[in-house]
Parts: sequence; structure tokens; C-alpha cells
Amino acid sequence: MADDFHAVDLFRRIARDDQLITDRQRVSGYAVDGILPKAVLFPESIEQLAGMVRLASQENLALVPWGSGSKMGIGNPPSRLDLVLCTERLKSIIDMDTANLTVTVQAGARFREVQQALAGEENRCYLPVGDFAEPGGGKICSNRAHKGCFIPLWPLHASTATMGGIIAAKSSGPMRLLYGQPRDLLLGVRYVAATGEVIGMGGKTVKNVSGYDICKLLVGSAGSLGILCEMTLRLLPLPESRNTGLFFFNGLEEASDFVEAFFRSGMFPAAVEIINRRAWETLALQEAEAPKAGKYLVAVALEGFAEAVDRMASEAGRMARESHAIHEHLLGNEAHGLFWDSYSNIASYLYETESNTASIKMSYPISRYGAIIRDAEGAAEEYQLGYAFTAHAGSGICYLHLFMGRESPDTLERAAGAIRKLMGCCGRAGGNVIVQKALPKLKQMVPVWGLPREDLVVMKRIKEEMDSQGIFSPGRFVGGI
Amino acid sequence: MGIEDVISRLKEIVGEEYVLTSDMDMTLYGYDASQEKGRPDAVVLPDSTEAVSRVVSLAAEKGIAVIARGSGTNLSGGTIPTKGGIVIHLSRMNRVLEIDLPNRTATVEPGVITLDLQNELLKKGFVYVPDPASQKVSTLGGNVGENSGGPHCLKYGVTTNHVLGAEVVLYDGSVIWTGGTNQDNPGYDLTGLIVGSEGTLGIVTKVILRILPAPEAVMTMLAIYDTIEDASNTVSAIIAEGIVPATLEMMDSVIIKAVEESVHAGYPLDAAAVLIIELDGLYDGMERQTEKIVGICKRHNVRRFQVAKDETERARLWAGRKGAFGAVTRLKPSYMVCDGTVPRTKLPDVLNRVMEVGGKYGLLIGNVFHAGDGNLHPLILFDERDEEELAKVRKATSEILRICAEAGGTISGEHGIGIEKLQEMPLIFSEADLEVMRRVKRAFDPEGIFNPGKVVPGPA
Ligand SMILES: Cc1cc2nc3c(=O)[nH]c(=O)nc-3n(C[C@H](O)[C@H](O)[C@H](O)COP(=O)(O)OP(=O)(O)OC[C@H]3O[C@@H](n4cnc5c(N)ncnc54)[C@H](O)[C@@H]3O)c2cc1C
Repeated sequence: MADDFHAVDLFRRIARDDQLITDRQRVSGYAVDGILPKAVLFPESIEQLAGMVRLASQENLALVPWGSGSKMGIGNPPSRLDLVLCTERLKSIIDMDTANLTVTVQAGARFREVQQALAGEENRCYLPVGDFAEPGGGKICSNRAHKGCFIPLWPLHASTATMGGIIAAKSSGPMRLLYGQPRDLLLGVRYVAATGEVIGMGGKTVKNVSGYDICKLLVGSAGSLGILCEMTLRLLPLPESRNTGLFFFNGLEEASDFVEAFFRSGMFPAAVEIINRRAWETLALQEAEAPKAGKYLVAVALEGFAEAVDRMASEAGRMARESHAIHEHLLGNEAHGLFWDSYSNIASYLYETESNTASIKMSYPISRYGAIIRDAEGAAEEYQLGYAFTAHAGSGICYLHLFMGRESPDTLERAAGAIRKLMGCCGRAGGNVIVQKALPKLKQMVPVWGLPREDLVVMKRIKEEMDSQGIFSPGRFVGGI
Repeated sequence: MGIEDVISRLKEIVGEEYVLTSDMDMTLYGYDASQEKGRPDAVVLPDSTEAVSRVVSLAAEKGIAVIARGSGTNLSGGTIPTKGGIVIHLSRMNRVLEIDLPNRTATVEPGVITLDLQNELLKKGFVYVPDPASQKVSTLGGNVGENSGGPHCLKYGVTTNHVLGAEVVLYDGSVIWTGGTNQDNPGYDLTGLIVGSEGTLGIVTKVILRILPAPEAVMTMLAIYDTIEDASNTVSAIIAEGIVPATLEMMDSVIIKAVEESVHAGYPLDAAAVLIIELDGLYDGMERQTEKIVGICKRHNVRRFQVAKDETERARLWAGRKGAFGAVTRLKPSYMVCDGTVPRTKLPDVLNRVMEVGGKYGLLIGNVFHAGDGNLHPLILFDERDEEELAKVRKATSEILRICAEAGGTISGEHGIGIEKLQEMPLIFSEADLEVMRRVKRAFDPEGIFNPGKVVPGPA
């Protein structure tokens, strides 16, 4: 114990008082699965962060990175924990090169703030034209009508999430249907390795095959291989037009029929989500938007050229009616953004009202979204748990939130039973289940990363090569990595 | 046990006729589409994962190098046996195992020719997007090995964005699956690491690819320019206007002339540059987007603008682009293609500097490239029998890659490092960065049997 205090004190040499907190009360806000770190560090530069990692490595202290904390529920409880390293002060936008369609941000930058900054930015293209020799001149903007770019992603907890957390947790979202996942957007990264060295990979080009694609390795590595410091992401120009159709159904059958027909029609929606009533109730929709009855909502996001968006909206309406939708509503350009913003926070809203929610992410081959939802509902009902779900219908993903209520051996056992059952269902369909948030006790009762796969051997060797001492988030990752 | 015994064991595994050892064969398999040469000890043509696994186990037991080979069209020396060893030629593993339309996946063996899969899918109204210009001969395994790009990757991304999973034979002969038909799997993205690893981490024996419904409408345009600046400014301007076309390809005058002589694509001989611009998606709004593009081209002094009226015209416009590498061999017997990639806003500047390098060494350079991605392809034309010229070419190549690196770009956008660009890796990576890559290599291949001497240079 005395040794530990000594070790933490060493950090005072490289951190100011306000960058190192040790008092129990403040530290308790940074507990990881109920385990308190001995100190929380707030680096303000990459060099300082690297110094902290070097010191942690010398002293063999276990360190867990922390962005805004929105996804700290993912993973096993750490096998040991000394330090939490919070990236919130590394929050600058380093480079907004909208003409090149890239942005470079620090890990602690909040997604929402980056997105806001990009939306207002003109897509200037500084083109050298005519006389190159002219000092300072010879550069023009194109004669453009267009303004604004965006990171084509709408991750969970979009209003608080940091860029580092989104990448580390490979947090995608509804729009992955059209725009892809974080792995498709991350072009470059600077991170601090377990050796304390700053490593740089990739850069500002959309194509890059120089050496191994280490960016891919870091996406979703959940703080087990290095601390992300800077990331370069691919952007898109803001779509000319946006709209969202809300279609309500009484039965899952009808909802699925509609989704099926819409996919088969060759349309390119940005997102197609199926959610249940409990989930949409958190959204505080207006009277005109949502009906009193109805069990399922299919929300269709449409983004692109005006004519294409209009046509998709009208075809979606027609198909929804053919599938017996009981209510439909088009949100229009303005409300579209607001809707998806609050949509990304459904989990947070539920956590505020329901106690001890266990959340899981189920993944299936994409054509099986109907089955995935039926299995989810079936399991929740069998184990008598209240629930809400949101499913990315076109991507084979369903988030299920199970409301445990009061923590007791009985509720824990029921939640664990439902999760185990769904692990079986997903496994048989060639998919899997990953726990997103659960009480530490519940985490001990189920494999939080799902059932081990044969590729785990290689993952373990990678961890061994990259962090042999095991200082980065020890025990939290897949297979106890 | 000498090589003779290894060869007889190989024959037991794949059958006598599928082990090649003749002097002629060893010479042929010592080449690929790069300027490098080597020589294997034996070539095997397995037809199953199990056979590949047994060959790898044998090689591991004997400490012999294993080099995976598709069609050998890579441009970086990726399939050159630098230290002898066994070439595993995957051409017999060329079955399309499953096309699963509801799940939007195709599962294939690595020896399937890219275009063969694409043609089969198109009949069903689907596409597999990555389309290297070599798609008629390249294999999907090779595309995975190099993380290949192509003209349509601007909007849709390169090979890695379309690979969902892979069956991989590891260094000890064991077989694993990474990824899968479902899209989110726990753990590290090993699929993402395997793609682009140039056969140095394992041998891919099956791949699950993402397929997409074919777009309802395609609009292909040709814009002809009197200066290369105008053409490259058009590229940036289109994107700044909020349009991301499926394709933005550029060719300069050297290429235009060579192409016209060989494929008669209808490009004017005196043009300084042409752009191929393609939009795809729903019909709705496409006309208006085309109008917008015409406007942008006009503002940048386009000489002539042409929209392909039908599929035949479209094919003709494309024939020029796809036949470009072949066409330049009319001018000089050999070419060296640099693959540097820069932020697209740096294109005009970097292009100028590339041409200056050509001037400095007295070398003829043609440019045919994925302009929208900032992916240059200066083709340095030369005669490899002329030692002196070859030396100049190597110097010029290195200088061009340095220019790309200095512009904030990278030394390879889609062709890979292989052995050809090993020396230039320090231009963009520190020793610590390279050490991270060596760690990845060790994690997959601790004995170093897979494609030795490629991708990552040894410690300084
Ligand atoms: C005329 C011409 C035009 C070209 N145009 C383009 C273009 O537009 N875009 C582009 O990106 N490239 C292009 N290329 C380069 C080349 O065609 C691509 O790199 C292609 O993907 C190589 O495929 P291949 O089957 O020939 O692979 P090979 O050259 O045989 O192998 C490529 C690499 O992959 C490895 N490999 C092969 N199979 C496997 C396997 N099963 N498992 C693991 N590793 C494996 C090999 O070891 C090697 O390192 C062009 C080449 C030519 C000659």
C-alpha cells in the first residue's frame, strides 16, 4: 500500500495539482466497474500523456483511458487498476481540411462539437490557379454554392461522447448503413504505446497501403493496446437534403414486411431502424409525430440529393401503407437532425429512468433482423424483464436494454438467464452478443464479450507483443486480454 | 532432409502434377508485374484449405519460406521469392462458394478472378465494388493481399471496406476465421490487419465480401482540357461543391496519345488532360448533378464535355482508362509506376513537381490516376535493358515518393510496399512506428516464414 502511494506521488513531478486527483470523493466518479483507481490524471498534451505512460510502465501501474465515460460499461472489470487517464483536456480540433474532406482531432474532442464546427465550415478549395508566382495570391475558392461537412457517423451518446471513445469502442450507429463504420472512417492516428513512445500511422489520404493497417487494429481495441491521442477522419460534404420518415406498426410482421420491401426496392437509405414503444417513448415525440397505439416504429433516415430524398420518402410512404402502417410522419430537414440526435441518446434516457439496466448488443447476419428482434422479445418476456430495443435493421445489430430493477439474486439470475439465452440464439445464427453495460455482479455471471472465437489466439499474441506488461486496461478486453 | 524430400512431401499433399520444379517454371515464378526478380525452390497449386494448411505446416517444420501468389500482377514485388522457398499459387482455388443476396455477401476462394465475380453478381443485379484496372486478371486473394483500389473507390472505399471476414492459414498450419457474415465481432479487427498485409501474416483461403445492389443509374462523362491545372482544379472544385462522384479519373497528354493509338477511345490527341467523371445512384437528381458538373468544368475552361449516351459509349470511354498501363508499352518497353498518394488539395502542386523530376532526369513520365482520391500514378517509361536509364528511374521514383511524403501524403495508395518501396518506408514512419509493425508480424508469424523480406524493413 505504501508503495502505491509512493508511485502515484511520482506523477506529481510531471503533472500539476489540478491534473492529478487522488481524493477519494472525486476519484469515485471514475470508478471502473465499481473499482476505484488510486488517481485520475488529466494530461494536456500528447508529450505529457506519453510521459505519464512511461512512468506507469516503469512502475508497472495499470491504467485505463477514459473519455467522457459514456461507454465505460463495456468490458470485463479490470483485473487491476491504479490510474484512470482522462482525455478531456486534449480536446482541440487540430486541422479541418474540408477541401480535402478530412479532419484531425484530439481524443478528448467531443463528437458534437467537432460536428458543429464542421457544419459551419465552408468547403473552401484553395486552388492554385493562373499565376503561381504571385506571392500570397493565386489561390481562389471555387465558385461554390455548398457549405458544410460532417463526420458520417451518428454514434451512441452523441451529445457527450468523445472522438477517442467512439473510435476505441468502435461505436457506430444507425447511419452505418449508408456511410460505414469507424473502421471505414479512420485514416490516421497518433497514439501512445505501452513503451511510452508516440506512434503515428496513416494520415490525411483516403487511400494508404503503406505498411500494416494499424488504424484498423486500434479501432475497437478499447484501450487495451495504446492511448489514442489524435485521429484523422474522413468527411463528407453535408447532404443537400435530409428527411426522416416515421412509420408505426402494430405487429413486428408488418414492420418487417415494410423493411424488406424497402430494401428490395434498391433505395439507398442512410438508416433503417426498428424500435419498440418503450424506446420511442423516451424521445418525447409530438402528438402529430407518434400515435397513441402501435408497438413498433420503423424510422427511415434519408440523405442525399433533393430529388432522390423526395423519391425515397414517397416510396417509403407507399410501401409502409401497403404493409399496414398505422401512422406515418415525415420530419423534414430541420427535425431530422434533432430526431437522430435524441435517438442516439435513447440508452442514456433509459438509464435515467430505469434502475440497473443491463444493455447488450446482438449481432446477426443482416437478413435475420426479424428473428433477432423476436428472440430478444422472447427472452425478455420469458425472464420477466421490462425492456426496450433499438435495431439497425440493415446492419444486423440490435441493442437490447433489460430493466432489472432492484438488484437481488433473483433479478441478477433472470437477467443473466436472458443474456445467456440470447448468446445461444445469436451464436447459432452465426453472430454474437456483447454486453454494453451491466452491474459488476452480472458481469461475473455471463461472458461479457460473448463466447470465445478461434481468432482469440492471435489476439492474445498481439496483446502480448504490444503490451507485454499488461498495463493498458488489463483484463477488460475479449478473453481477459 | 533436403529440398528433394520437401518436394516429394509436397507431391503427396497436392498430387504430382501440381508441384512445379522445372528450371523454366522457377524462372517464370521469379517474376511479377514489378521490376524485381527472384527464384523459388518449388511451386505448389493446392485446391483446398486443408492442402494449404499441410503445405504451410511442412514449410514451418523445415523453416522454409512460403509465398502466396494470385495472378502475380502486383506492382511492388510482393510475390517475388527473395529467399527461395515455396510459392503457393492459388489459381485452382477459384470457386465462388456462395452468393447470399439477402445477407449481401459473397464468399469466395482466393483464386477467383475479380471480374469473374463481378460479372456473376451483375447478372443478379449486385456489385462488388473494388475494381482495380487489372480486374480481368487479378485475383480476389491478391486484391485482399494488396488492399487494392480502383476507379470506383472514391465513393465506395477500397478493398478493405468490402471485406467482412476471412479464413486464414496461420504460420503453424492452423486455420482460423476472422470476422464473419455478421458485421460486428468482438475483439481486434484481424480482418482489417490481414487485408493489405501482402501475404506476410497468413494465407487467406476464403473471403467473405460485402456486395451492394447495383445502382439504378450511371452517368459517365468525359471532360477534355488544354491544361493539366484546369483538370486538377476541376477535381477539387467538384468535391468542394458537395458532390462525391463514384469516379474521378485523370489522364495526361502522354497517356492520351498512347491510349488513342492502341484502343481508340476517342480522346483528342492534342489535349493536355482528360477527366472521366462518373455519377451513380438513383435516377432522381442525376440530370441536375450532371448540369452542375458541366458548370464546374466550364468555369475551369473545359474544351469539350461529353456524356456517354449508352453502354457502348460508356465502355469506350472506360476502355481508354483501363487499357492505359498496357498502352504505354508502345512508347517504351518498360514502365515503373509510382503510387504515391497526397491530400487531394495538393494534387496540382505535386503533379508539377513530379514533372520537374522527369525533366531533371530526362525521363518520359505519363500520368493516369485516381485524381479524386489524390492517388497519383506517374508512369516512368524506360527501357530496362539500358542500365543507366534504369538507375535514373530508381532515383526518380525515390524522389517522387519523397515529394508525396513531404506533401503530407504517403508512398503507396494501393499497390503495396512489397520490396520495391521498403527503402522509402522511413520517409513516413519512425523507427518506433516500424517496430510496432514488426510486433504485429511477430504476433502472426513468429518464425518469419510468410513472404519474408516484404512490407516492413528490418531494424535500422
Ligand atoms: C495493368 C495493371 C493495372 C493495375 N491496376 C490497378 C489498380 O487500378 N488498382 C490497384 O489497386 N492495383 C492495380 N494493379 C496492381 C495489381 O493488379 C493488384 O495489386 C492486384 O490486387 C494483385 O492481384 P493478383 O491476383 O495479381 O495478386 P498477386 O500479385 O499474385 O499478389 C499480391 C499480394 O498478395 C499476396 N497474396 C496473394 N494471394 C494471397 C492469399 N490468398 N493470401 C494471402 N496473401 C495473398 C501476395 O503474396 C502478394 O503479396 C494493376 C496492375 C497491373 C499490371
